[in-house]
Amino acid sequence: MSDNKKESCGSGCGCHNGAPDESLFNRRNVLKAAGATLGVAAFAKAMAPITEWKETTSVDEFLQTHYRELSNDQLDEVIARLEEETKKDYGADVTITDHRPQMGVKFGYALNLSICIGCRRCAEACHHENNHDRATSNSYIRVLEMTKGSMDMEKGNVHYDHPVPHPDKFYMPVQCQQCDNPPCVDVCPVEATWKEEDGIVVVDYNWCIGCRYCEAACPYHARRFNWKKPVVPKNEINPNQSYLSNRIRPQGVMEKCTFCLHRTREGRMPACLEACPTGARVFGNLLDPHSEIRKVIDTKRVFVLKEELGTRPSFFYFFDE
Amino acid sequence: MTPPDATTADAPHHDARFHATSYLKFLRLAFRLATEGSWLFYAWMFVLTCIALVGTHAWAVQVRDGMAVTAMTDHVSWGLYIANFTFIVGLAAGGVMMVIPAYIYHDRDMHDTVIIGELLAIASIVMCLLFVVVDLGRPDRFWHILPFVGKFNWPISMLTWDVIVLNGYLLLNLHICGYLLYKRFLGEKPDKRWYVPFVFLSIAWAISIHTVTAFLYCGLGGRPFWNTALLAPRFLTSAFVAGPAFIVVVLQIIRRMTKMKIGEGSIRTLVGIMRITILINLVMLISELFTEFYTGGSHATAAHYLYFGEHGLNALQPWIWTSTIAIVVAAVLLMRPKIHLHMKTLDVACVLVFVGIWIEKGMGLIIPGFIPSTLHEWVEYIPSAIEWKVSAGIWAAGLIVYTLLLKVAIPIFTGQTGALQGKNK
Amino acid sequence: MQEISKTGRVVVVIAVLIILGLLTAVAVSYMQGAGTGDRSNLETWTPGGTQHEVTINRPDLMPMVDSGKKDRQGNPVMIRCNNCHDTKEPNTLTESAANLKDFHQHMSFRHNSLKCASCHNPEDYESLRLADGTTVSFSNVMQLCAQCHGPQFRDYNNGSHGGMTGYWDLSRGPRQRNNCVDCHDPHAPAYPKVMPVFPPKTRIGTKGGEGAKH
Repeated sequence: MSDNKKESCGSGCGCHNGAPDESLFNRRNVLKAAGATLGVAAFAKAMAPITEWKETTSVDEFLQTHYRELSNDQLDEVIARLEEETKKDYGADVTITDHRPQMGVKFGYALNLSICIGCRRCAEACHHENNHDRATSNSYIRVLEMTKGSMDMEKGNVHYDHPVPHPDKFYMPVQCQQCDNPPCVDVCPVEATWKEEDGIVVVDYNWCIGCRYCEAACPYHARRFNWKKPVVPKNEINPNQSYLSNRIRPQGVMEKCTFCLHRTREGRMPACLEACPTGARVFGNLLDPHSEIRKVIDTKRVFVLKEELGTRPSFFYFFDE
Repeated sequence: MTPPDATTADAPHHDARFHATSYLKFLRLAFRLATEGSWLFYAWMFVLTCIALVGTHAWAVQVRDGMAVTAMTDHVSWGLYIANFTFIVGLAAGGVMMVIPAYIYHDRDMHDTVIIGELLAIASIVMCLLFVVVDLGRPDRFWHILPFVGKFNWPISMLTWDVIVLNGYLLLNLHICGYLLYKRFLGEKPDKRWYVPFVFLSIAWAISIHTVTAFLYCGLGGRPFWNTALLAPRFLTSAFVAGPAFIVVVLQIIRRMTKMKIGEGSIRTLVGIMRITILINLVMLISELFTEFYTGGSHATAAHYLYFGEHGLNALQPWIWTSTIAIVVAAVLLMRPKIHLHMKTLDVACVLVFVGIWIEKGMGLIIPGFIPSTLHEWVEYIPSAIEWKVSAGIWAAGLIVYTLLLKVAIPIFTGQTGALQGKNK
Repeated sequence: MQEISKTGRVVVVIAVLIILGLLTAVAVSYMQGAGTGDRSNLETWTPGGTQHEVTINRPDLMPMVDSGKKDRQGNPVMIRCNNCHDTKEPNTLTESAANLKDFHQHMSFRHNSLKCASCHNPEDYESLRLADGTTVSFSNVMQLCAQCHGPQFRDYNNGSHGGMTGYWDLSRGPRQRNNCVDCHDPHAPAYPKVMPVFPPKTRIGTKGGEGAKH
């Protein structure tokens, strides 16, 4: 039997006499079956961590449809589930609301580079307001220390660590520019990110597949990925949350600045503006001709970052004359 | 070999029932061919399976603990996975470099071996899809990207185009190979209407998979290193070097390990293709670098970092110089007259060019696109152990698939299963 | 000849296949469309109506000076301006703390070349005085600042200078605004240097992340 095998299969061609009456339990078949069983067992062992991970996600979450296709009732269920999960995972009682945009409102933000001193309090406020992971010091804002006489970010530095403002420098906080022509939205393969009526580019954290194409596409380094499950101490969690905004994000999805839509859609100022000690930040409704933001655009010489890319930001910078 | 002509004279027409039974027999034969072989075959499969299992475990850990176990950051948000993906799309497209001579120029030798290239395309696409899946932060939500079932942002997102062209290419090649093999199994002459149009379509499609993959990157205005019109042509030419290089080596292994006759012509044709494409690739590389460095400015920073380092950071320098030297040496070696008769030189050239282009399109193209970041922050990237394990696992899985496909295809294609085929009739 | 026409036919078939495929795909992608959920009806924002208040922080009615002594509870004893200035002859030429003997010796004055009396009212040190002689209370200090810092005052009024909290939409809530002297010490108005907080990190566990160059 074994001789025969060697003869017919030694060349590796696998040719076989193919006798139909061949016993099912010959040595080769038994060996094959044993090998296959062993393989399957090894595979199951290798995949074991997946089963541990599976406990953190529910069937409901797996089957949840896109935010914009949920009916109001379905969304209520989803939100109830999310609140429950936050209670279970973080021990905190939170309220998740579905803040919707208002027609007639389009948010704009302006930043006075003459006034900003680079203290990074905006970044810190963002960190706390939006329930960011503590260990990574995540924040949607990065503050660049720029050399006077150049707008070249090449000469910028975010890791400055000396009393500010330095006399030879100016400071430029950068966050999501809420572009009117957002490259990040175009590239998303599953429409997990889109621009809402009031100009805010949002992410459905429960639809994002985590391919990070938007992160590659964004010219402003505005997007963040949840490389792991965020860790926030129970007593530090901001309980006023929104589905599309600062609720604690799941592992493996994208997130971004939403101009604090859980605040701004209630008429309040974003957290970074309130934290700014110098008043360098101006926020408001671009469609209201009497708003502060419109006064800035009308009276100051404002500019946007990387205008040549055609992204048409809703975030403006200016200097005092 | 079964003389195909003998059976085609009467061109039998079969009903569905015939196919239902004989196709099952075909599958049974395929299964047997795939699971039986020499001890060398078993050893080879065992090693590959072990590597694949190590990769599977590493991926499972990554899914559980989050992609924090990779070395990727918000600054360098794509790493080794997408680097490999990009290269292997090229490998899949490279298979077509056997199809063109075989079907458009009616190269006889190539006609006998073309299936090796087509099977390479299948195995490569499987690897591509795996590399995309392991790069997802939420692999459990893969169904969101399926047309009709999920939400498919077509035609705006280039990634959806990639989903279409990659899967389309996979189906095309599965159909072509499957059809030809089944017909051979039946001992009939394949009907040209059922595969020639698909072969031509697959040629166009091969170009499209790599073009679309290049568009993924060069369509991003915020990334100057990628934002060049030359990217797609460069991708194609480098694919048409790396693909044939791989196949040349595979052909020699097949010649040694099986009874399949590999004509000199196939290798000669492939070497001819490589000689031209490797030079075009170099010309394009030089054009790209000239534009970058002569113009200078912020847009050249990534290229400068890649080749010479910047601010004392130079993680990619060893990679890119290895690649550049490998490709230049391979180009010189390939210029040797009658290199197809000097197999050792040829093999060295093929290995060099394969490694060189793997780096050029991966660590030398995807990674520097992120360094410096869009706000000109400098964060370097060196793949983590988990990433190496997962990547090795996928390569092993791809080689398993390719080995099995060849294991099934070659005996059927060369008619070495004659006894069984005879019985079926 | 026959070969060519055959190839031609194949090309045509392929072209038709591709075009048909693209068309179906386009149709499908349109049919899939945007959201069909319940949240497409949005309420409209209407300006006007009742507006909430914008309150500006007011400095305390009266500045006090620390006497350096403590009372029984250990609290510093504060002295009103006029305790001393009622009986002292004002020196309108004083512009630094150097030649003061009783109080204010440690104050630094870095506000251009202003003299004390440029802002303080020498007739009543518990109030301020504008350049035209008008008396202004301490709580209305912004009026005084605005004399010289016109552009800043204009920007303040336009909402683009000075920190604030509260509502951008005054129809839904009030707003609190800083006063000039909340941020600027009137005697040394340049914004003080501070240490930046919250240093940025790339995520942990990454080589070259924490210590990365700019």
